[in-house]
Amino acid sequence: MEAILSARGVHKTFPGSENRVLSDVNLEIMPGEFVAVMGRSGAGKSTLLYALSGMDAVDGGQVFYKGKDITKLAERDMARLRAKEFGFVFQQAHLVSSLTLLENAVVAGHLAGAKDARAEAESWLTRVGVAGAIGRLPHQVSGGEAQRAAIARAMMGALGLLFADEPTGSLNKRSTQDVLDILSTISAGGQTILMVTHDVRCAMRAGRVLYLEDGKIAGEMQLEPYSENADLRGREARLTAWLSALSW
Amino acid sequence: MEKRVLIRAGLRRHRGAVLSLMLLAALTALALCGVLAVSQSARMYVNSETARLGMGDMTLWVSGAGDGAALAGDAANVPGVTGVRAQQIIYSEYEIGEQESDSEGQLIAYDPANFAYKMLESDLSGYADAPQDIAPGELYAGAAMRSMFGLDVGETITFPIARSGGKVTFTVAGHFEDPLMGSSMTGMKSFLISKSDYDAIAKMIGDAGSNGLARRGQMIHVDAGGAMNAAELSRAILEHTSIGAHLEFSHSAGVLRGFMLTLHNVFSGLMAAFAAVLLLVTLVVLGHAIGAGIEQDAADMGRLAAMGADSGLLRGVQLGMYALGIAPGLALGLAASGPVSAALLAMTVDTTGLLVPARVPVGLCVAVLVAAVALLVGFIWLRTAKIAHLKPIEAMRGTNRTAAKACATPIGSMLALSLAVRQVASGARRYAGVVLTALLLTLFASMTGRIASWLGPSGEGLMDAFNPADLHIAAQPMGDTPIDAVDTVIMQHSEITDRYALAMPSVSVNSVNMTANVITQPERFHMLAGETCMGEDEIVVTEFVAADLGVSIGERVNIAGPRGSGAYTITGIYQCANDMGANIGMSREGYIRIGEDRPQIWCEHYFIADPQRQGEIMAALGETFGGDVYLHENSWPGLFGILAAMDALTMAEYLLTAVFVLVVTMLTGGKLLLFERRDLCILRAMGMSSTRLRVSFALRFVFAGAAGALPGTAAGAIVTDPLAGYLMRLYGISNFASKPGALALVMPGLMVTAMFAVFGYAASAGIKRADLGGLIAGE
Repeated sequence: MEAILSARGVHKTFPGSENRVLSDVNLEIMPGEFVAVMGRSGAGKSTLLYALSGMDAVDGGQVFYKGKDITKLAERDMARLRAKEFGFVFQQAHLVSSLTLLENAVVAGHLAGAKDARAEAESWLTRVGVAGAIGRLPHQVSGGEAQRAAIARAMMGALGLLFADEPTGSLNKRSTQDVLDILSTISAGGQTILMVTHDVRCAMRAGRVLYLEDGKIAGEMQLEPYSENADLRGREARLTAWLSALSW
Repeated sequence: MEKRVLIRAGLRRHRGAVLSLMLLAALTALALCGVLAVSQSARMYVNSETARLGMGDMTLWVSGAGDGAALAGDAANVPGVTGVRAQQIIYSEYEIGEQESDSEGQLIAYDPANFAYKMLESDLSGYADAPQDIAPGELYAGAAMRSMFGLDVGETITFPIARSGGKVTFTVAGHFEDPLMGSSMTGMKSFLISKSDYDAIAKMIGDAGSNGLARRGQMIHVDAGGAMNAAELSRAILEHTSIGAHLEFSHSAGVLRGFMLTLHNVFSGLMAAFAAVLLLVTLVVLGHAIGAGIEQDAADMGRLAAMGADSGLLRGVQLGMYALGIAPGLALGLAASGPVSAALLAMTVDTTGLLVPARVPVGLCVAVLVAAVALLVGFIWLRTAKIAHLKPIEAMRGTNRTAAKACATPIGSMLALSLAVRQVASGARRYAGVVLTALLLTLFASMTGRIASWLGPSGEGLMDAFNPADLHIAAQPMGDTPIDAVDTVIMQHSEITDRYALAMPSVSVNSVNMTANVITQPERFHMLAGETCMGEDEIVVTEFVAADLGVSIGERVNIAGPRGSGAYTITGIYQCANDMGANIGMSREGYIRIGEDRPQIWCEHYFIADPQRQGEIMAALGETFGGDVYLHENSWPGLFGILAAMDALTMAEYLLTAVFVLVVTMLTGGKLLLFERRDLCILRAMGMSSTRLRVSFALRFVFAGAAGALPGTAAGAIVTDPLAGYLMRLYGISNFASKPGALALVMPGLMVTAMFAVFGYAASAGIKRADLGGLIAGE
């Protein structure tokens, strides 16, 4: 099977700094995979996400999405790719403040070229459990509801890859659980997900975990697919042990 | 101390807004001070020059009185008259190349010892040394002759002195400044020639006898030391001297100054109105900047309040910050008004005929600017009042910020459009500045457009205002040429559809000298009120005359002419801006009661079936009759200079409008980008291209601009004609009515909206640079 996303020799240095924040990163993400990227603070996790999603330029190397080098795309083509193929979930919900939850999803649907953006938006918002709040503006709902709406928005259209950056970073325990359950459900439905997190409970929902250290992939761990009946304690213990071995 | 630190920090944070306000303040001050500088400088200069040359309180143009010495002596003996000076002149038509003058010129014998006219350099940029004598065969012409006839140094000008080839040709040696009749607004034009040439022409006239085309005469300047008004002085002169029998026409110093300053006054009036609009727009922008600034700084203000800063300090910081932008802006505008008004005055020398030195009336300007500052400071204090109600903890948490409102406008598949509608609808307050600015600027542009529309591409509006009745071609035989011969030439080119005759003799109305428009068809007068004068004891008067004499419709006045005097009833008010409105209108039958009905006084006015052939007919008439028939159209040479000056003024106003729209858009756009940076980044992350976002951003300005332009256009349709009419009435033009077409009505609003669109797109350049990574970092 061909990788849906791959990186070859990607490196990046921030302006004014001599140290590479990403150094010769090579990776492949297969269709339907749920991959988590972990690492200490400052290891370059978010930078890697920007680079792989085309949100930020790289200094060198290539990033292929479905076989096409996206580092060479013009701004308009990159925007089209983000609209039709990529979805993003951020640490903050980052919903457009002047649009209701439904409208946030409808806009994404239109951008993705959905035939019936409104119906699809309602469907996704219902699936993530915010059907009762779709007419509200972002500041009128809780953080958990906003984040669930953000996932619904990200899922609009025929999504190829969902990028998630610390999606539970600003949520309470209950909301974190809800969001992770949604991501797991989506993943089980065959959605490819690349998630950056520093939370072991989040990472253990993934099928594969990459460990980033000083801008390089320092380790990789394969986990059995997550299911509702999985041995959560054992899964967490194995992941923690692996991370400890990597000086986590 | 802490205030200074906070003001400095505020200036750093809001430098864009402060610099924009500085620019607006500078432009407003420039417009205000520029108007004052131009109007004051021109007024003072004309006053000082007429005083320096000894032109007195009234000038009387006489002929047929020899050297005029006796008349001047009589005038000097009139009670109340303190001084009389006379200049020897010759009245004559003139030709420059293919162009013929449409009114008589006056050849003045050069007398530098008594009348020290200022000579101009060849490029009209400064003064040249005045010659001791003018060489025979040379003359000096007024500077306005350059715009009226393209008359430059080295070119020739011919004066038909007598029939059968009695012409005298002069070469232009230079231009001079004539503060009495140098403006292109004045039909009569003066030329300085040598005394020897003057004497030679006077002899030619004497020798020609009844074949003479030119006439010898004098300009008699009478000074009463300002002790009598124009009517009293005129009455005194006519009562105590025989000047009335030789009088061609007379004008008070005030009327002559009015002619000379017409262009400056029109310019000043329009610019003053514009400056007032600019001041209002500056207030609007300032209000918007303060509102947005407080919203932006609310968290910091909350923190400062938590640290113990009171609202007085916080408001003082805002006041200090904006005052530091506005005050230097006003000073800059004041400083720039000197060179700008100097440049304006220099640019219009060939229209105004005067090289007016720009003198900024600093005291007056400072007083006006201090009033403007007081207005702005008061406004800032008022707008910052909400700081007093700031709750520190709410401000720090940002919960005091006005959240977007849910809005019923649907999000359709045309995302750029529907997002623009949504943003404007949900955050209308932020676009209030754009809406108000669009309204005010549309209103002003409408007024400018109306004046341009009234003026017409060839100045038809001005000509209609100046002529008592409409016409295509006018012909006045000067000698024995029968009018039938003129008809024959015209009919070879086009059918004559209608005609009437008009004479313009001088009469005295209640002892005040005026020009009578005597017409064979009184129903042709441009009536403003009442009825036209069909009876032989009826007249119509202009608004100016009615106000000047203190008379109204139904009242009776006494009119004196060459053959006697009589009482006439005023039946109506008509329009004629000729002689600054010092005109009365009467029928032929009415005039015959007091004046002579000689064929030579009548000028035949024709309407032709094919007005397109007007130029061709004029050429044919000129070729056939030469100087024997005086010809004119609904135009005069100086009109083109005026049109050019008005076009330049209109362009300058549109340019300033564009600058204001640019500044308002950049300021509003900058604030919007700041507030919406996060949302815009999200939309970009969702896949909306920066171009699409920028189009959407520009569309918001289209909607906001249109929201202001629409009421601006409606208000323009209602109030601009009366406003412009009021302005025009100050200059003797009574019935200003622009009659704009549908396109002219909506064009200002469309232009203003289009400017907002273009500048809105330009202001959104920051969207392209928005750092998407900031979102992932959780900013």
